[in-house]
Amino acid sequence: MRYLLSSLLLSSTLAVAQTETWTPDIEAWNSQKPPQPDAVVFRNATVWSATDKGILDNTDVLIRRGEIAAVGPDLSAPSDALEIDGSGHHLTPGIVDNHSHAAILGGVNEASRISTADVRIRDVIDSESINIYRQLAGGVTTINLLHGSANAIGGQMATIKLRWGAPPDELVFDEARPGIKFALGENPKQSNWRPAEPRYPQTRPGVAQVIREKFQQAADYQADLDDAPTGRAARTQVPPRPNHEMDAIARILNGELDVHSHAYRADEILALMRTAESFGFRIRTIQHVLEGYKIASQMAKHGVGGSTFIDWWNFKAEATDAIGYNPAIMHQAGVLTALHSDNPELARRMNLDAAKAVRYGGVDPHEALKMITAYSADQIGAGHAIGRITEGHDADVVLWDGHPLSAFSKVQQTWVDGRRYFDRQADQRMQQAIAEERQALIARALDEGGSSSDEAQASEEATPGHQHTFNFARHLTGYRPSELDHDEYCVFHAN
Amino acid sequence: MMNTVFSMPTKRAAQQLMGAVMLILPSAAAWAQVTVLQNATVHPISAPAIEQAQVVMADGKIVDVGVDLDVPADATVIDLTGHHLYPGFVHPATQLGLTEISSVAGTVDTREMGQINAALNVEVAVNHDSELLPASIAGGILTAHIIPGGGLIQGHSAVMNLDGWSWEEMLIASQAGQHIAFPPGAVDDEDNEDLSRINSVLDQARHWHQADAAASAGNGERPPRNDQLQALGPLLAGETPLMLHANRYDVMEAALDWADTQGFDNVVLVATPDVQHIASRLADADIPVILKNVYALPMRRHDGYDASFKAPRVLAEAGVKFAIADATRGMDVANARNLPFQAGSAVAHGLDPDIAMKAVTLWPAEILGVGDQLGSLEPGKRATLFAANGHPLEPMTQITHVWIDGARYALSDVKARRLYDRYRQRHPGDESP
Amino acid sequence: MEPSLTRPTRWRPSLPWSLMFLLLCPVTVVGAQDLRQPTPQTHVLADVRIVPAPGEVIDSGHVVMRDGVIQAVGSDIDIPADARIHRFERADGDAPVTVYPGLIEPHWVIDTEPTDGGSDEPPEPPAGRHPLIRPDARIAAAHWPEDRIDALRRAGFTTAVLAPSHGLLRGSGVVTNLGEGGLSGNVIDPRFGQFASFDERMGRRQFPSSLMGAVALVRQTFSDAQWQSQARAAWALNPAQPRPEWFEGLDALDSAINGGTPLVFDSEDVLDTLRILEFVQFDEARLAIVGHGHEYQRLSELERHDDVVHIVPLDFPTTPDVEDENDRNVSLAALRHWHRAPDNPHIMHQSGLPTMLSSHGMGQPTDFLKNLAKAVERGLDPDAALAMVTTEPADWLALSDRAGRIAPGMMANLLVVEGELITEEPIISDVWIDGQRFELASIEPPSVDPVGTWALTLGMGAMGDVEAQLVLTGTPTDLGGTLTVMGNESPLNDARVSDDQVTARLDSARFGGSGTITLKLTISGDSARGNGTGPFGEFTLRGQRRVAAASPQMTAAQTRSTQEAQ
Repeated sequence: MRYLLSSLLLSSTLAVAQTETWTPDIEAWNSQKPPQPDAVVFRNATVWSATDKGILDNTDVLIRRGEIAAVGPDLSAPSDALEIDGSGHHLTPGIVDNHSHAAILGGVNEASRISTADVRIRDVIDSESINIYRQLAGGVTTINLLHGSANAIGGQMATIKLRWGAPPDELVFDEARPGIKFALGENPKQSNWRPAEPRYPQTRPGVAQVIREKFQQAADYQADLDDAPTGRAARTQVPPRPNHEMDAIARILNGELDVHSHAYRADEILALMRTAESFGFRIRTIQHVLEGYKIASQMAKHGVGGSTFIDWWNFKAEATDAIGYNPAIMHQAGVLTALHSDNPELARRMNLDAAKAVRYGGVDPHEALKMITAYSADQIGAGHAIGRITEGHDADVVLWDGHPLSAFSKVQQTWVDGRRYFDRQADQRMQQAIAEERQALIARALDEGGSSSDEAQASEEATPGHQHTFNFARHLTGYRPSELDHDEYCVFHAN
Repeated sequence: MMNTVFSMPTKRAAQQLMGAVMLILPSAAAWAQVTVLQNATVHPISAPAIEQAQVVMADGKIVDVGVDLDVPADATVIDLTGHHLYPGFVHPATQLGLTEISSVAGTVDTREMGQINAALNVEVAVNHDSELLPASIAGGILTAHIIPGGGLIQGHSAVMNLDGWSWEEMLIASQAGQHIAFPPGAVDDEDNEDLSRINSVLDQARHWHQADAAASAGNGERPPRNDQLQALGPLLAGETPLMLHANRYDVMEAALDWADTQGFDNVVLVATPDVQHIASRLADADIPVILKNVYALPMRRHDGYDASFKAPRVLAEAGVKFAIADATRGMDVANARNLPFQAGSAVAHGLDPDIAMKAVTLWPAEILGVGDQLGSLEPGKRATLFAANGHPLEPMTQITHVWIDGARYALSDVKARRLYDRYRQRHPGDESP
Repeated sequence: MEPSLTRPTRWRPSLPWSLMFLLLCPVTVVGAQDLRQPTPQTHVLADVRIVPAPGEVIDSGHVVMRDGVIQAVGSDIDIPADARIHRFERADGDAPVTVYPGLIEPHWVIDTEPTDGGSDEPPEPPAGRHPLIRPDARIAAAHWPEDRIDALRRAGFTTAVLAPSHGLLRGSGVVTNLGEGGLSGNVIDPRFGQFASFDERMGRRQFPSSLMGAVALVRQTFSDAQWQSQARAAWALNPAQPRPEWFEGLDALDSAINGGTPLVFDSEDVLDTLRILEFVQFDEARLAIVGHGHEYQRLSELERHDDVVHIVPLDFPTTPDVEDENDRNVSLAALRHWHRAPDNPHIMHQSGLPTMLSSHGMGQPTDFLKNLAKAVERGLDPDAALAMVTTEPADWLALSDRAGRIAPGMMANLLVVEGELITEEPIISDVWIDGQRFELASIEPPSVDPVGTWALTLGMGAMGDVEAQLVLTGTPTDLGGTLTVMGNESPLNDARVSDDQVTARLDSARFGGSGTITLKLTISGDSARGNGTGPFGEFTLRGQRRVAAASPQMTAAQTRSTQEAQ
């Protein structure tokens, strides 16, 4: 029943899509799932494996039903395989952006309490965000949607694959480990605005202490749960009251929920690692980790990953020592190092941030590419399924028209699960179709004497029992609330 | 003075020698220190690249560019085998020097309150020791157009070197433009309050200057002193370009219509990539563009994903002269060093690479009125240039040497580099994961 | 021999604009209040075309009503001797008068913002409970919004679900007829449903300040409710242990969890709908989702839950504002939805998902039938359309033995329509509710143009005078505007002119009140006089027009045509 937007205009998409004629749409709900050919083979590409095999010239990659089946020269493929000529092209794993807010509805922060471990990004995934399509066009195939950094213990994250068109539950990528956002420093202590009612804590020692307190509470809560009777005895025993916040924090202590903590400064990163150690677990990653290079050895020893952005610095007092050489030093010291976007625009050109890891500190280009693919996937516990071009991995690959770390290159095709979700030619077809459709609809609106926007706005405002706060702006700009929220968020919180 | 170039690496040395205007001759005067950069591939921008070539510099200026040039025997010779030489990037619109840490209000001077700020001159607040300047220089941004940012009439911008012992020394061109932010509300409202306010101030300024001229000619009383109205004189006389800011294609059109009715014919449009939709009009009217942010998200949901990336190509194909800028404000100021990559990404979307280079060197210099001093490697121009180990629009490329007005800049002193050198010793690691 | 009680329908001019006025005009109860004592309550609508239920037609017959209940329907039934007979004479060529079952509005939100006895602050919630969690809240007689009930009646609705407006878990609603006599005189089910939404926040600094926070709060609350009933049961069996804490009102959620009453979730958009479908995982719950008109966009996902009831608003967007054919700014999404929205009811019907239609979100239900006709034009089967506003909601409300059809034993809720009901400009001449007739009185065409800015003085008696500014915009036949009192501006919900009288209604919330303010002004040139009522009592009105009508506020369309003329 989908793909029926306009009986006049889109009737051609009603037909079952063929691989070569499949055309996406700028609305997710109106985008047909691209077909998954039984077999696809890329021929004679320069393959960046993101494995120990390195960069492989003149190599074929065979995909069977959504998985990478073989990598090597002159592969034999089924006769009905879709052949894609990769000569002169580079094939890389799909980019994994492990710090994103690009598809979250209704606010990226639950900024109220110092701990909001009970909130879940999973509940508010914006499958319709145009960011998904735009990031596919930049070669991104998986993004990790994180809660914001307004509180010491934020909400639970959701990792999604960019299956443009699918509803939220089908975007969720279960191979990634579940995780939760923490935050240290200026944001949780509310340094850069003046709240009418300040929230405890207002200092870094307070943030460290609040985290410790919450861990202890959760340990006690878990002990109560463990002590509660089960089976027949439970019928006559008042059970402990469920507390979803404590549930989540207890899962951290049990090692079921990974901590990904926003932090800039060396001191607080070190302190968080020590707190975790005292509760018997390890922090999974430090996000942004601007001063990671100052304590890289300690990070490597703890086993924490460093997920950083390479450029942003000096936007806060705690970011003055951020340097582009950070990934190079962390990587050299043995820290599992990745690059992330934290920004829906930057996410479209993550390959150039990897290139900057080469520029600043001379990281080997293949290693730099791993920082946005293999290592990024490893940090969210999905490295066994995505992030590398190797047998058995999901067929999430990107075909570039040149060196993938070159500014002069662009993405020609982006595949997720062996489906071609972005194709430069299909995109240009879509742009043409959209232009024509707009023309037709505008002509019709002019025929019907399009109403003044003031009236439209007034009538929405006057509608009781139905709140359309964002609709007007959304219609004007084509943006959805999550994007507006995020822009606002970036302006005020810069992370 | 033999070692001047190297003993005062971070500040301009040649400045001390320039007591008077001097002719630059192919064979430099005997008292001038001559530096020869040789064995590089030289990219003059104004002409095709020359392999195994020399650039001869003296007294802060380029003396000659070519192959097998005559050079004085005592010239300082720097061998740049395997390197490429380019004129420094000219950032066409930024607030470098006016901001340090954007979330700390005390360090930010980017946005004046009030609507009419015609008498502001930004150069007087440029902090020559800002940490952001060395970071930009390390990225090859050696000259920048510093713009004001508050209200409707925002004041005068300035073209500046990014290195110097004071803003005064850094100044290349004061009053490079008078900036007006065209009110978007005026697109479909003739009675727009903001536009009426601009018009009214301009009318008063015309009256003031008329009265002032009359007084000078002995035909009337001198009008009362008014700095703002007086400051609008160069704009009204066409001496200072009108730098007209607009963010949406229909606002740009309205802004240009308005500029026509006001009689402004020295106009530079400071515009978002949406400017591509009025490219032919700009070409016809010969109006240059400062293009803000190839790295902008498409303005509308239904705009193509590549809408911003391809804007430079569209302008180039239409015959518009343009300079590529970043977002000019906010977090992009600290990252002005990324300017060349914006041009690089435009190449990915069809812009000719040579034009992309021009759009961050020669064209901004020309649009800003300093094309006779900067933007290309030609005799007589300022010796503001850098060497790199690859194409400078590529992020993988490293910039290895920088000269500003002939003085070698010490890249190893840049803060990020200092921290890198310190901590990589501290955390050598065993091997990569 | 016709009994003298027979009243022919009033002659009306047949100009289209006058028909519109007839639809807008207020309903008046015929008879009754002046007589103080009961009147006979047996009526017959005689020799009318009858649509007793969707898909059924009696070309000519009678409907007999006694004491508010339908006694007989058909072509060959006897007219009781004690009945008052209503006949509707028609000129040759006029469409026949048709009697339809009264429409049922399945979701009509009324303002139940809690206030603490006149104070502006909401009352403190019970200990341990969040202010947005009010599952035990109920609709009270004081909430009855007389003028909005009147608007529903004028649109052809005779029964409605009145739903609470405030909170994440909002409490129960009522099923009620829409006659005179307030809640007590009309209520059918005083406690219906549990109404919920994810669309409320506490503001930036208090939990929840985000959508995901709201979801987390509702999730925790349902857990707490389930825990509470389990804990209380355990404690009842074994009192020799600490008594579990008691959270007041959470037990009101039990019947929504176990299906005793529907769980009605208000959805903001198509993703909210998917969120609700995923959230409500209680085996027994009877989920209904109040939608948004975008259901067509994610239909295949909705079809995975074929037992969920959808209440779909007929709130079609107005034509987008377009500058010219090359306008890049108008969004494609807005254009598409404007174009596609009228297809939504048909698509929902074809999907087989249980669907009811609602005027929810339309502000005033005036355009409900017009939009329904548009949906039919787009392919919705007319019988299905009628069912979606009669028999389907009756089934959902467990009222199919009492409402939704014209049959013996049913409540006497009827519409008398000149011609067809589902047309662009339907002419409803009578609405019958519980056997009471509400006749649509005619109003006069405007004789004055009140458009302009009026400086008014509100005489509040002992409380003194208050200055106000009334801005009327548009045209006499299509009025809008605002009222500003002491710097607070509020839009007019409804404004119209009859002869030289202007009537305007607005919500008093922006002036700190609760309820409707009604203004009545008689216009003479640039002077106005009249009176008004509101939550602060009655007041007098007098004033002058300060800015004349026909201000240069041209619409975009007018601007365009002017430009083209040049």
